[in-house]
Amino acid sequence: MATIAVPLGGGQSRQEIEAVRRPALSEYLRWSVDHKIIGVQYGVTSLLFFIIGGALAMGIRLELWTPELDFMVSGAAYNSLFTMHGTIMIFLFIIPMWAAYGNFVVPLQLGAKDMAFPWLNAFAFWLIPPAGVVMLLGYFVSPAEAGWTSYPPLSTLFSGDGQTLWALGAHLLGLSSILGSINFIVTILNMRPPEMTIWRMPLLCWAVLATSIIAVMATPFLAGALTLLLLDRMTGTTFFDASGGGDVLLWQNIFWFYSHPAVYIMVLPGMGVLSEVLSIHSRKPVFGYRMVGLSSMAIAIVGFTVWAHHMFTSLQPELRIPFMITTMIIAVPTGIKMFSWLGTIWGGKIRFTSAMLFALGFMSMFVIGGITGVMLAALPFDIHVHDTYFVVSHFHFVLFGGSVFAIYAALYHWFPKITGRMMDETLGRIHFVFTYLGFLITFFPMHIVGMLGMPRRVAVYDPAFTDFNRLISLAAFVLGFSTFIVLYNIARSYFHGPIAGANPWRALTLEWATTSPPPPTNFHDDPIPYEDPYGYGTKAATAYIEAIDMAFDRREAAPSGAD
Amino acid sequence: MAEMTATQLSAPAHDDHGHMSAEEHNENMKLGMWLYLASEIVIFSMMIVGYVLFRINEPDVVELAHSKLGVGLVTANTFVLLASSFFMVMGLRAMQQGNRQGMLRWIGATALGGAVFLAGQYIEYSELAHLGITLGYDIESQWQTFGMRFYAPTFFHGAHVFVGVLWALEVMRRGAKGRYDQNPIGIEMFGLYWHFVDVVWIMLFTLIYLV
Amino acid sequence: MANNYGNRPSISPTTIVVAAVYLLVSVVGINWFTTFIPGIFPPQASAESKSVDELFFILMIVGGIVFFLIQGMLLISVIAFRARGDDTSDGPTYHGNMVLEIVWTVIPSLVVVFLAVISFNVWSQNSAPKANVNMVNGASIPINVIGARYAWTHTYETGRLTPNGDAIIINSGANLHTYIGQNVDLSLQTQDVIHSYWVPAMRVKQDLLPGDPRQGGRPTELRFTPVRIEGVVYPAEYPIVCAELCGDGHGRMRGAVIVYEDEAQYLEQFFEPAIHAILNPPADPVLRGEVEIQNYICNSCHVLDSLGWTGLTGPPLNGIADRAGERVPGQSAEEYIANSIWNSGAFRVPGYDQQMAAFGPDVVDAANVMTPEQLYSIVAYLCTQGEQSDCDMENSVTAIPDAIMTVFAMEVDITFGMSDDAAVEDGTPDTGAVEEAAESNAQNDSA
Repeated sequence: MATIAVPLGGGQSRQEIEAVRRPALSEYLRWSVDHKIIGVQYGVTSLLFFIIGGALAMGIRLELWTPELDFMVSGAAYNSLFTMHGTIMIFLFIIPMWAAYGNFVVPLQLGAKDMAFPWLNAFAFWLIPPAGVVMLLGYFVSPAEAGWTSYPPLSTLFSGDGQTLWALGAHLLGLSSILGSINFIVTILNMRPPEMTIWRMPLLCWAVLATSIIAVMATPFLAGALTLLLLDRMTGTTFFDASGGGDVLLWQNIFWFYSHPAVYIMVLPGMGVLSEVLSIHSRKPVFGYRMVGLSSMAIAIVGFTVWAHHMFTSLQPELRIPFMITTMIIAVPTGIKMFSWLGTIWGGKIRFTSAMLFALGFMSMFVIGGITGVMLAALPFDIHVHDTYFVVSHFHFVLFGGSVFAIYAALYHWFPKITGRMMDETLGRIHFVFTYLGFLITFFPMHIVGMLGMPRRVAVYDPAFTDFNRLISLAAFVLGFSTFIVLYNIARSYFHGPIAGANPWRALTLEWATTSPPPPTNFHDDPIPYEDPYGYGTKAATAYIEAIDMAFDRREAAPSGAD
Repeated sequence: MAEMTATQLSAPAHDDHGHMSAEEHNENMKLGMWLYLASEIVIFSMMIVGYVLFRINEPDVVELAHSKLGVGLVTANTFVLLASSFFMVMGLRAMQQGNRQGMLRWIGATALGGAVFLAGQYIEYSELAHLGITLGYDIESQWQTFGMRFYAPTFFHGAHVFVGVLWALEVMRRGAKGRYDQNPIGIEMFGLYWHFVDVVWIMLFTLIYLV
Repeated sequence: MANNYGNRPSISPTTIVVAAVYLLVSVVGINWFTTFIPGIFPPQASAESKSVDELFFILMIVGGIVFFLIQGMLLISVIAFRARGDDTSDGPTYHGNMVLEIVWTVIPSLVVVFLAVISFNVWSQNSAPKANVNMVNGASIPINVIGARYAWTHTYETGRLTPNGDAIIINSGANLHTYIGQNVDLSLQTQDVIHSYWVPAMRVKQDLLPGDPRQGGRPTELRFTPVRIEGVVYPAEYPIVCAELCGDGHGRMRGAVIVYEDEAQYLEQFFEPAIHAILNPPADPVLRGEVEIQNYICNSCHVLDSLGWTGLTGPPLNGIADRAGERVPGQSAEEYIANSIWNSGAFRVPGYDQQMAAFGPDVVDAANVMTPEQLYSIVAYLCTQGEQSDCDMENSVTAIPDAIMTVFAMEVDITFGMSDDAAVEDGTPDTGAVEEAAESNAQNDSA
């Protein structure tokens, strides 16, 4: 018989299992070093900022209902709208949201008691609320209006104090990201159980590892760039001021050297989530596990060589070609993931859970973002659509169709583990339909408007594009509405959802081999991982899952030998 | 069948249930510190590259600066910092040999070295300010942007030394309470940081004052 | 439980039929996609636009194949491999296939290499420097574009001289004038932030980068060659758009490329009339001022209804003459207007926090150089903007030069005719003449 082991098979009594309770709400409002508490703190904070950022997006679409300036008082006010929308969604929603899942799930998947540095973990989280507040304070002086990219000299010589607050806030968020990532790397590399070699690690851990390596190497560039920006704004240096010996392209180079890898910081964990969800909900091993894991690393490395494609219209012409080539190359590891996922669900037994629907939605939307990504890499075509709605569409397909769909998939997938209760699947499916259609109709037409000649970041546009913009706005309002469905679902399920049990999805990774929610020390004994995190369809795997059920949920039915 | 596997092959519990062993803890600390230093290297290299580009583009201004900058004070300062790194090593060794008083003396010397370095840097900055080298850009000045290219990396490094001095004092406070008697990892962490600050200074010193 | 442990996934005949039908659908679909391509591009108004669109066509075919392949596989999967009813079994334990993985690594690599090569070809063809650029009358004339928040200015260094020996530089404001077959080569320079000069119909775009004005700025280059589009009546007009966020009025920073049918039409309708206007400035300072003021970028910040300006950041100029006398105690209306142009930092209208750019005889930015004569005419023009002008319109011929004298201690040498019969003499400008000038101006711009 194969070596099969489950955690908690021994020592823990029925009373102990039943004694596991959800932490009191007050636990979440104060300093805690428990990675599960911190994970939820990250998640709820990010969700709040998601709502703020989403409201700003609705404001953008309202303004664009007509080609003239009407809803906003001035072009500058409109500029602050999309500046804050972009900044909040990137720095205060997507990146911390992945820290939320990473925090909650990664130590559990590794069978660890906590992160490597619990105190540092809490510190990294508590940098975020003040940073968000500092950024939003800009609204009381003169909000940042230079876009989330903040190109000087617009962001230095031509903007108000809100820009300084913006830079300070972004600085704090960068620090938080670096500290959090160091913690993830050390946890993943050092805290695996002896049985779990790096090639037996769940793919979410691979993705978080790759993401964290990018964050540790790239975020300091953002910190450096912001430092120079702040010096220019506050002490009269001229790093970015051409009339004082500075160079405006210096900012663009440093900023994109961080911000292009940051795109992968935002999407790689989503890819990790996808590998988990697709495999578990189609009951089949991940196709080509090694290549999926390694392609995360390949994306992380190649991601550092492509930054200047964001500068195709400002870079010296002869430097543009190499960046076109590297940018196209990065499509290859991304394609490997896409095909591997298809191989994963192919021939499986697909369950259409809400998590699975969003994972499938990710695949069908992300592929569009990938295709337009290669189109944008093609230099002559990029010259035409650079800084237009085509680009807006492209990165929303990657960041909404990719990251946000994955965030939703992860929510439906891990909510039972986090709260002990299932989400409402019917509401989840309705949510999916509204999100999928709302998203597609919002962002697909943007490709066409961009190609026809509408630049991004304008409040006033050519009246010829009015019809397109109205369609987009209507769909965007539907998309905005869809968020309320999931918020309602979260609130309702938290209190009234069906009890989840330890392993509602019958999964093999270790986070399911403990109670939902897990006790403060996560596991009673040191858990032994199953030899293959995705080895569904074997007798041994079935036995492992059965044993988890037996240990936690059907213990009284087990034979007397159970203790 | 499954029931049997559940009972027969469950995992043995660790003795130190719920806690990391000291060895694991030390490994984590070291890896974490190295990663942190890696991100520091990135920021420092940005500033150093900024200075190097300026040096290449404006050799005249740098020549002028070299002719005016006295290298004596800063050389002395460099030796102080190097010596403090040596004290640091001695402090760690004393602790590893169980000599708590020795450790306190050596780490104290390290902190003193850092403080002397900062005092030297303050004197140097005053002299430079006297010469008219300012952080902000002055269109009239012959120094062009030398001020910001020079102050940014050196001040950033100075800030690191300052943090290091505070850290040394904290190490002494904890050490006096016997915190490192069993496991001197805390001193080792500080040592890594201090050596890093030292190495960065040697690079800055070579680039800005010597070549 | 009916687990088929360890089996490979099997493909049923039905699946193969579905796949075949889908294949057909996608081939038709891609074909159908491509018929939309001309509709999602602006007109192909340049030689460059044709090759860019062809490249897009290829990208669309390749992208379409990938799109239909992946969506199709997804679709087939969710139909063929859904767990039916109460099926709680697991799928086959199938970990991968090395050959397949190599295939889907190598083929995409080859595809991107192919795309990179053809993109490179199109790029080198489009960006190659051309001989005989900006040819007008057999000579190559530099054409400069100035971007300033929030307006474009186009100037043409004609190479000709006025009788006084000054270079004749045509300023055509927000519009670029060119003709079919002219190899346009623009030198772009910004006066403030980064702008991006985009002509969608030409498929070209280039950022304008701030540089050190003492070292001649940091000009960038943009090249394209207009081509004929069948069925279009020339001169034809294509929008110029600012594509890089530049602040409050970014969306309003627009202009047009006006393409003439051939060089003859260009010369006749744009070039020669413009030179004529420069060589024969209106004698009346008010009329001259109306022309002069449009050569500067005042429109980017100020509102002035009589010239159709919609700037936002500066105080409106409508009715300025009614207020000018009361703004600064001790300054006459003429003095105030002159002072606020040449000495723009001296007084700031309450509620407006942006400093106006510097204008004067020796400012750094070439586009802002303003001689005393030009200032005189502009002040004269602005003095007519109001119902009961505070300016001394009775004696404007001496009052304005006096004001400039008072403020700047500078002699204004009136070289243009101050004929006695000028309409300003009786205090009200000859509106007929103003309208006439405005009309001829409008013709120049849109003809």
